Amino acid sequence: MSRFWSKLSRQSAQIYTSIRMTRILSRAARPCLQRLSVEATHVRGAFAHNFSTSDAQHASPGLRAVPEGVQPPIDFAPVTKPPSARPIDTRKSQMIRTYTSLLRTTPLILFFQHSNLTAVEWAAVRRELKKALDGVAPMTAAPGAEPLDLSPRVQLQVLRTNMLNVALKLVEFYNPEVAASSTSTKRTSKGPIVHDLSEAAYEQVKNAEISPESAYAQIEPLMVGPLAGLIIPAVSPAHVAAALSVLAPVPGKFPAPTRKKNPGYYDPIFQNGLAKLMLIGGRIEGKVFDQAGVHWVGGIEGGIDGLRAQLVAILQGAGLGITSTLEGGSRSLWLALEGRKEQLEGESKGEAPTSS
Amino acid sequence: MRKVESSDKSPNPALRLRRFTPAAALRIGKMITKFMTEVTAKFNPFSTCAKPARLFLTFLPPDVRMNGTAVHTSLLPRNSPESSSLKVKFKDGKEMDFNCSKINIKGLVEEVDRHSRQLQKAADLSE
Repeated sequence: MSRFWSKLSRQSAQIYTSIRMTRILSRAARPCLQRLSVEATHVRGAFAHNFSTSDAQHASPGLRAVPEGVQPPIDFAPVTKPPSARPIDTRKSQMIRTYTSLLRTTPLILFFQHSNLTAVEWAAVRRELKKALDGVAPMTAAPGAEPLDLSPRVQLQVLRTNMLNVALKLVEFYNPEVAASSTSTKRTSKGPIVHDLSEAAYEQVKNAEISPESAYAQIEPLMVGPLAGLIIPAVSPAHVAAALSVLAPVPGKFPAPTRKKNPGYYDPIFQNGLAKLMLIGGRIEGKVFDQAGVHWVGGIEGGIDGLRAQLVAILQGAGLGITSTLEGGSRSLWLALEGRKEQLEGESKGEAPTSS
Repeated sequence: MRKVESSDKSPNPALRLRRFTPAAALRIGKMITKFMTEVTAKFNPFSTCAKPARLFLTFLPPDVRMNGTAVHTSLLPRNSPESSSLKVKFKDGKEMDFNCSKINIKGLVEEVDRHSRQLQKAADLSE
């Protein structure tokens, strides 16, 4: 009898724990389920066939903005992973993404050819570059703004030439807005797929006509062999001058540091590395500059402020010119009228004796 | 986008097809540089004919300057009509002068190596 009771009590205890577990679970899941059911009722109208866990406000605009006769959304695409025309897990594709964002955001890139520098030489070159840039005063972007220290953000980076070539084309010839309004562009529930690796981007760049005046056509011949880029995140002539005095010194204009001032510069390892680095051109605010152009930018005295001063001087000169021209016109008119008046007076004087 | 060949999907990277480029082909056999005493390259980087000269510089090994070869490069201004040129001087005094608009990098290396091989043969016999 007692055995029966003990068995019964054990069973009831098991049942009790299992009931308790389910209750806890259901209590934990309740808020999620409630949220799901609410969302389902909200969103069902917008995409009954395309279930998403995001809320309706964020999910629907892509659908609403769809013009007539476009391709239906691709259902299988998760929002964080839009379909890509290039294989996304390769290094090359990610490089294209890196380079396009670099080219879009960085106004000043100087290109160097590097012919077989060893790692030690690279380290020496970067060390000397850092030393030179640390001596440059922080630049002020706008009058009144806080001075910004660019030196730690300037990088000398080895670039993959062919991927950079593709990225340059993408930056210049691909317009995501045009692709978004096109009917042939693929769409997800989040909107059209117009990122840099998309099929739309690929098609647009492939079909683009490269005119000889475009920046890409000018910079294209540079994209040969191993390239390194000196990336400066703002147009700062002072930093360009400091970098040039180390990486591509020009006696007189961008003199190399003296042996007394900077003995590390005359380290044979650095000098060997320097001999293999060659400045071939630059891309400054989307325009392509050759060596002389880069030297000109580096030689702008006082940076942007210096340019402003030059502009003011030019405008003042123009003002002076205008006043003298205007004055000159009125003066000649006055002279002409004065002459005519004298002539008339003379005539009337000449005529007066005969009539009287 | 290049269509990916089926062989590119092979799990073994060694079995993947490599795209054939002249530079890749040349990299298999190195250029003989030990008989050169002076290399002078002159090019305008903004013209397409700079390519052979620039690539020739990248074919020189990292320690070429330490091993008794002087390398001089000079850049032409962007608008100069002069085509790029390459001069190579050898230990026996022979000078080679190339106009880079007429020759590609493969031809350049071939020409230079042909003379270097002769010098190599002479050096091997005299040993």
